[in-house]
Formats: sequence, structure tokens, C-alpha cells
Amino acid sequence: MVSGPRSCRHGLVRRDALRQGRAVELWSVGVRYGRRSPWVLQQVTLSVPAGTLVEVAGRNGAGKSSLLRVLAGVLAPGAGAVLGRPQVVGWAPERFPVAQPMTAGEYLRAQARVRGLQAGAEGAVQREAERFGLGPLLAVPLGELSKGSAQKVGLAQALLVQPGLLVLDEPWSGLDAAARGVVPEVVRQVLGDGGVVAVADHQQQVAALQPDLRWLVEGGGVQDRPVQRAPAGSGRRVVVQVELDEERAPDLLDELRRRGLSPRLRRGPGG
Amino acid sequence: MRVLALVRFRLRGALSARVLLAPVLALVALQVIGLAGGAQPAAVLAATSVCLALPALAWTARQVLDAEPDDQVLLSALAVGGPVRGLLAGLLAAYTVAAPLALAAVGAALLRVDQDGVSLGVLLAGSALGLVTALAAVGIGALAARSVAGRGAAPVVVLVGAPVLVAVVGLAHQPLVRALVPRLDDAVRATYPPEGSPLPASDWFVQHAPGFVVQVLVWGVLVLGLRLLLARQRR
Repeated sequence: MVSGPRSCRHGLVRRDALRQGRAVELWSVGVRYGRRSPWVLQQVTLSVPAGTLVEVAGRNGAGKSSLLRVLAGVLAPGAGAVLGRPQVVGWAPERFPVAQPMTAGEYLRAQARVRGLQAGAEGAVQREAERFGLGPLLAVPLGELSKGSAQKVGLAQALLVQPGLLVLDEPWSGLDAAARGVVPEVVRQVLGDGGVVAVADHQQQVAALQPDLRWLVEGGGVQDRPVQRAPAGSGRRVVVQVELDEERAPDLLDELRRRGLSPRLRRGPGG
Repeated sequence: MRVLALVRFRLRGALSARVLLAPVLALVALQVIGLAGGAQPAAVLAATSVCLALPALAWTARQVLDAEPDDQVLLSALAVGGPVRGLLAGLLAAYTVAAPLALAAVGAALLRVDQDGVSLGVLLAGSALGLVTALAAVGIGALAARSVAGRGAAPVVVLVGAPVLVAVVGLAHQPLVRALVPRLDDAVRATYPPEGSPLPASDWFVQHAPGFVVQVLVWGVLVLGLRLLLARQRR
């Protein structure tokens, strides 16, 4: 249940972070929705150093979103405490709340000002709009956005100010191919600046980012499991080519991504 | 500045979503029905108007506080720096809507009197009572909001029960018990001077209004303070 220090790709940042005590800690955290409700999570004690990518895994309804909400600070734990949370936290919920009477641009500009940006609000909105390809959608009312476009707004609002902790709940859900590629870029940027990123992802896209920690949420607890990595080899690189029916390709790609590899799909002649 | 930015955001959301139409119509209906009848002194109209406005103002406040979807409330709180600031912004937004409505209700009630019949004292006393009543209404609205009362019948019980409680507790003789609710019914009674009083109704009301204004103000501040404390404890 307790995660200890473990090597990560951002070793230098992490060592500095540990020396300075910069790590987010969950101490004996319990979560329930109401005093008489059953505990969704109990006695969860975890530590995540700066510069760390955490994959939060588990079945539907296991409590992944609850854990992410506690980590982000939008849900107060019913027991225990979260310590060392950075000042700026970005949280992209699983479903962005579109039932709001304003356009995407108006929403993002207002949120930028709430984040403390005044003169820089427009610049931050344009930056994120460009990053996610939201430009033409800024004038569209939130309620009229497609699921994927709403997801982009949800991600953009979390990044208006560079977060020290970025919490993403199913960030790839509904995104088009271009925007899917942006999420890893965002994650690397936050990690590179010494931030923490926690991601729940049913689509196994996060595996390609090689998370440092994997929290498996099940049975009301959280197991801190080592991440399965591709074994170290001789250093020589090879290309393995597999030819198969197109219908079977998504499963194989997912499996390879789960193993930390980055497969590429190439259609054959006539495909 | 960040809290004010969130106040603007919440106001924009509430006003654009047209969630205020129903409580504002209720406010108008209560005023029209409650103040119908023969000619009344200005003080009576002002105090009665404020008393009648309380439930509709509380409903208005609740609508402002609940205009955002649940996850947006969380996102806004995260953006502004915590749930206490998020709630404070909501309360300020609710008061920004409720206070002008209270003043409008008092003003509309006084329009029924000849201009000569409205003294500056009554106008100021009625307006002050309206402003603190709006504060108390925001307190009641905050207790009826989704985050406290949930989504079932409880919000309706709070919104309907609060003015009923004001009337019932107002019948009690013990001053301490009467202090548990905003003493708006006493303010209305204070527009009828006791027999033999040398003062006319308006002067009697103006003389006693500061006491009621302070009591309603303290009540509203205490309720809102408790609500903010609750949000702080839930962090």
C-alpha cells in the first residue's frame, strides 16, 4: 500500500524534489460520499515525488476518479490528509461540464482570469487553443461542442497556468488523432518542469509514456505496483513487422502499448 | 481579484441560464398580492415589502449558487485557490443579484404612496432593511443550495420553512428565542405605533428600524460565517 522511492526517468529533478521535501503524500486517506455511505477508499497511503508520472488503473467503479479528485484537491478526504500538493493544480475531469451558457472562448478567458491571469489571459487561451486545435471552436457555445471538442476544452482549462500537479481522468477519451498526440507532449512538459502527473486511462495510451508508478485501485485500497517495462537489451534496435487482418490490429496495438512499446500502423497495398 | 473574476463568471452563468426568471416572477407576485388593498402608510409598505421579499430572495440566491454544474463548481474552486474562496465568490454573486432586487421591491412598494408621504427616513430605513434582508436571504439560499441540502425535497423545505419559522418564532415572547431568526415580522409590527404614542407610524418605524437592521445583519453574517466555516472544514 505504501509506495517507496523508485527510480524514474526524471531522476535529477526527483532527487532535488526529495531533498527539498517536494512530494505529494497521501496519508491514510479515506473517501466516502456521505456519513452513512460505505467507504470507496480506505487507508490509502501513497507518495509521489516531483517529476513523476503515475498511472492510475482499476476496473470501472473501483474508485480511480475518487482517488484522482482527492489528489487534485477537489474532493476532501473523509479521513487522512494530502500533503505537499503544489500551489497550481490542473484537473481535467472525465466529462467536461458543458451545460454552461457561454462559448468555449468566453469560458476559457473567464477561467484564465480566475486563475489570476489578467493581461495574459487572452495569450494563454490562444496558446491552448492552438495546441489543441480549438481555434475555430472558440466561438461555439459549450453545449454545442462534440464530446471530443468538449474534452479539449477540459484539457485546455487545466493548462491555462502551468500546473505543478496535473490530474487527467481519461484524457484521451473522444479525442481526434491530432489531439491525442498533444496529451503526451503536455505530460512531458509538466514532468520536465518537475511537476507531477497522474493519469487514469482505460485506453492504455498512458503506457506509451512509460509511467514511473502504477497505482492499482481495487477493493477499497490502492496497490502501488511496479511498472512493467520492456527488458533492457543489448542496445541494438530492430524492427518487427507483423502482417495481420485489419480488425485484429487495434488489440495488438493496445497490447504492445501496454508493454511500453510504441507500435506504428502501416496499411498494406489496397488498405 | 481572482475572487472577483469568479463572481463575474458565476453572475454571467446565472444570468445567461435564465434560472432567475422563476424566483423573480415569484418576488413580483408576492409583492403584488401581499401589498394589494387600500392605501397604507409608507412605513407599512416598506417593511411589509421587505418581509414578503425574503423567500423569493432566498430562492434567487439559491439559483445563483446552484447555476453551475457540480464539476464546474469544483473546477472554479480549484482555479480560484480553494473551496472557501469558491463559495465566497458564489455568495458575493448571490448578494449582487439579491440586493438590487430587495431595493427594487422597496422602491416599487413606496411608489404606491404619494411622493409627499415618503420621508427620507422611511426611504433609508426601508432600503437598509432591504439590504440586510438580502444578506439573510443569501444565508438561507446557501443552506438550501445543492452542496448542503442536496437535490431532493430538502431545498424546498429550507426555502419554504425559513419564512414560516420567522413567523412562528416571531410569536414567541422570549427575546432570546426571537433572536434566532431575522426579526422581519417585528419590523412590520413596528410600523404600527402603540396606542397613545405621540409619534406617527413613519417616525415610529424609523426610530426602531436600526435595531431590526442590526439584528438581521448579525443573523445573516452569522449564517454566512457558519457556511464558510463548514466549507473550510470540508477542505
